Amino acid sequence: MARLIRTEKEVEGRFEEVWIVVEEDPLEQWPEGPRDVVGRPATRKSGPERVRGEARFTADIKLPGMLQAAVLRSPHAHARVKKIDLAPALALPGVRAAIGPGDASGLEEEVGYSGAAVAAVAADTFRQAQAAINAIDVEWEELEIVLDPDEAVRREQFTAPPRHSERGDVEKALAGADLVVDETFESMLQWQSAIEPHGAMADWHPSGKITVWSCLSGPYRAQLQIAKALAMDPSMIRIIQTYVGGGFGGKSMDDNNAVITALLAQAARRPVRVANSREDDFIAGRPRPNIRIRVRAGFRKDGTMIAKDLRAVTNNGAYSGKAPAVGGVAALRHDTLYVNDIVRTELFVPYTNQVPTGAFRGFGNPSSEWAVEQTIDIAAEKLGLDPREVALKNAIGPGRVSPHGNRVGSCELKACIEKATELLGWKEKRANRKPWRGIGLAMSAHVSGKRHFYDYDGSSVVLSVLHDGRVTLLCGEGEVGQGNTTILAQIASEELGIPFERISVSEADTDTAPFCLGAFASRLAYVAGNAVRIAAVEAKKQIFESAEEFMKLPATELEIVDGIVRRKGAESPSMTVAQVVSKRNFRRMGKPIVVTGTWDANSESHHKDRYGSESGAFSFCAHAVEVEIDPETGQVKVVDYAIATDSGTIINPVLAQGQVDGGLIQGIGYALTEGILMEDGQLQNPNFSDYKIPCIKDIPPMQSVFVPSYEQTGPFGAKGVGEISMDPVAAAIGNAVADAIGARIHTLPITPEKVLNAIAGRNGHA
Amino acid sequence: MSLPPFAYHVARSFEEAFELRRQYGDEARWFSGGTALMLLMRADLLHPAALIGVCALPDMRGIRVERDCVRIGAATPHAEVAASPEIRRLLPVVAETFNHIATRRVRNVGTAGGNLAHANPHQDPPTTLTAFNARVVARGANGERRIPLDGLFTGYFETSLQREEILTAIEIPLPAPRTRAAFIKFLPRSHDDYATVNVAVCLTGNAKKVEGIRIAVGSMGATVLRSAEAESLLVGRAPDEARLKDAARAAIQGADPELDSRGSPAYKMQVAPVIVRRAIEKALAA
Repeated sequence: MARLIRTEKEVEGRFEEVWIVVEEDPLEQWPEGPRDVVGRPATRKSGPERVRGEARFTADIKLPGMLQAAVLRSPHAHARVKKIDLAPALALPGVRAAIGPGDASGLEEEVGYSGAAVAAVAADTFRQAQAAINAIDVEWEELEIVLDPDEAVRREQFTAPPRHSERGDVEKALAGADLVVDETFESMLQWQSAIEPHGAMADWHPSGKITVWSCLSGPYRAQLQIAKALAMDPSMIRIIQTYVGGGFGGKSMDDNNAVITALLAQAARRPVRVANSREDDFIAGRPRPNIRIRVRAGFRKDGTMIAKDLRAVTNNGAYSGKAPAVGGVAALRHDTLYVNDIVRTELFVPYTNQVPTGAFRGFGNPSSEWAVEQTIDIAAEKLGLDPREVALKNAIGPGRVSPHGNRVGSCELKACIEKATELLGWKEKRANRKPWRGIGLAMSAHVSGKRHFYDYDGSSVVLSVLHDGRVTLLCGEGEVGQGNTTILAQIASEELGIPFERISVSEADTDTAPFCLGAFASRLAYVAGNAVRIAAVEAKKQIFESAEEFMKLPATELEIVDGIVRRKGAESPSMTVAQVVSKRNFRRMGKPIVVTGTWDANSESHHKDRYGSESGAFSFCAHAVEVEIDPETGQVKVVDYAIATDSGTIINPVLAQGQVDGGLIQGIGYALTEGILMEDGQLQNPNFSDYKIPCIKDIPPMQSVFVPSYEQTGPFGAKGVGEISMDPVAAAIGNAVADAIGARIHTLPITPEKVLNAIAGRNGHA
Repeated sequence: MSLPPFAYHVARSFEEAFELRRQYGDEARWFSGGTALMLLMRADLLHPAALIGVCALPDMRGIRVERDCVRIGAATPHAEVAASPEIRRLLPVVAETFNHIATRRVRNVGTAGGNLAHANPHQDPPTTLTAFNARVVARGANGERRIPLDGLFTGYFETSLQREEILTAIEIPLPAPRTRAAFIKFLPRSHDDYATVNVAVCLTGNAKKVEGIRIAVGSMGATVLRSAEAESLLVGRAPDEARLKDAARAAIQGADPELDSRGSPAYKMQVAPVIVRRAIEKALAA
């Protein structure tokens, strides 16, 4: 059924209100209940080749005559190239091409951070390329450096005008509160730490077409970006997403590696490869932004939050990619968790001469949870209440619409709080306090896809049922290692009745797969999953149409079980899907089964007042943690961790658990050990001996459960699960540390030194 | 960063090694496990024209119990030291220390002698071996000499080894009967990290009276610290709480820790005495 919805579109900064007709999801939802394939641990599609070392990553691709590239990076945090001479580089042996400022976006005359690419060279060997880079003569004019985001706000160096939104009368509500907590928290630059550094291989074809293999996420977005940089038609750039050794948001094309590679291939008319070293990868990466968040929140005596005023300053760094959107999420999404409707938000995203920031698993959530969930914990403490009771009091339920318009369908947030605290033994631990031990609780809400690009939050796949009874899905979403290929195959298998092993999913190749946005915002199981279901339903209809003809039975009496078309509930008559499709195809006017499934979520782009449901569905979780503090050294040890997650139907429990485990580990790094250190605009720790991610011995015993819910808009009731377990970890650990030491840490990471100083401060000798 | 080009020689005899060294002079480096050297070369900090492998030299690998000491061949990998039945029986704290070094891959390749010659102040074996009063055997063209660990380290990545000398073995004296020892590597961030501070203690006596003690503190400056004052505060006395505290404070005299991602100098000065005290207590309880 059609629906009329109001939306606003931005055209060059002007907002225009439009009404558009939206077709309702034409699919009938499956009833809840156990399924044959969905909900079971199907073997990961690419698992065997990954384990055997046969998976082909970007660095494994070798083409005849390929050149190696090196990139010249700015040593200054802010400077102008007064003069640059590429000639000495071009004169060196083996050098085939050199590009400099003006040749492409990303190679600029004015550089805004130390590490920005200035020039690049392609040569026969990497050493020759490096030697050529060293031979490039640059005359720099150093410019003033601004590193402090507050200073940048004073100078109004904004990526976009500050955003302000107010729902209800915040000041009036705060004035009537029994308690107002006013605290400022600061998150940190966190680097994605993917095991595989960035890289790309570009091949030039005499027609002018360029093919790029790269470990990126979102090949079609990459295609548009590279085409723009090279002033070419997008379809003249072919992107093939290879296996990806971890992305976590860091490979979403905010950097310019692939652009530089394509440009060098064009200049040299040869295949060119760029492979970042670990240090390059740190310096030229796009870490999670550091955000300073001030929260003023009003509470009633019983712990109910009745008003919240939030001011967030997101340090964008030098160039703008996804940081403004990360800041936007940090400013608003957490309001999807609480029943409170009275909120005011101010968001500033200033440019500084720091490394540019971007997307990282969790997007803005980990930063805002770190601030808001600690603020609520402080209120519980000041009111003498159990944080668990306060959480339950403020938690939303199903059907809720957030003050910013997020429409929540299924929601088991309260059950998550109950389950996580039960698993941790919250009540017993609170009743039997041990010295230097503390418990903490935090919760989070995450999207399942987000309307973020071109007023589109959808996905399309092409599904073919082949004459051997196999099924191929042409999908441009791409796998970054999270397992969506397996999930999509499970959904197709369940809907079609064709065995999982007989479903294959293509690599994401812009020459063959339909337009897709790619992996971000925990969207693929939900959004692409629905597109696959639509395609599968149509394909099944076509199988039945032929079977009807061949088996002389009405389609309504047919079913497909294990790849066999048969009369419902009977062994015969029957035909295999292969027989049906062969017979259908191999005859006069034979027509293969090739269907397109397209689905777009019922969500809205935020209009200028930042109102609208950013996603079609929301996942929820609660984390409860116990820490032990060494009071003489400040060392924080996580001794017990419990997670309860509502991600709707879990399509593949093994893969979903992998997501939860991975998110927790990255969250522990965020809370305790990681963080990029900048000094005078120079990155101080671009290696894994100084930038410390947790190792497996640092990971505490963890109990994790999925709290069942059934999302009516999701495929088989599913919602996103990729990011949510990262979101509340730092807040939960922060709350537990405060509970243990009786003092609050306001900046990430929670280092032993900060803890020791906080203990000393509490005892009055800070 | 890729490796710069270099020549690689595997010396089969000491004569050959010294001859190669004479040819290359300062342009060559001795090469054992290479775990540290390769990192420095990749980071563009060292550009030797030649590496001279010392692992194939006679008697460079293996562990032997001699009359008054345990001898560890310099080219013995860390993992072999950690797993050696002799070391585990006679010097369990040394085995424990070597078992803590870096990662399994590094322990399988990096060597005990190479580690000491590298003289990285953040390493663990120098601390423990100093507490055990170990010495190294250095062989040059004109013969052999023994250098106690107290005299080996002279600065950041600097030793008293002469350019043409090869560190051939580590000799750890057999501890006196009833020696108690302990090693603590303080790793507040991650198990997979360099120590913020490490402490090794070797003592004779008991909780009523300390007969003799050696305390070594690492990662707190350019070289391993030993304090005669700290040790004399305890020798011949009962290690009570106040005395332990004083000794722990004295043990870090002369410390000059760096600011790094493991904490500020002030923080390290604050926690180091805590770790020293705990190491002494751990040794007393051993």
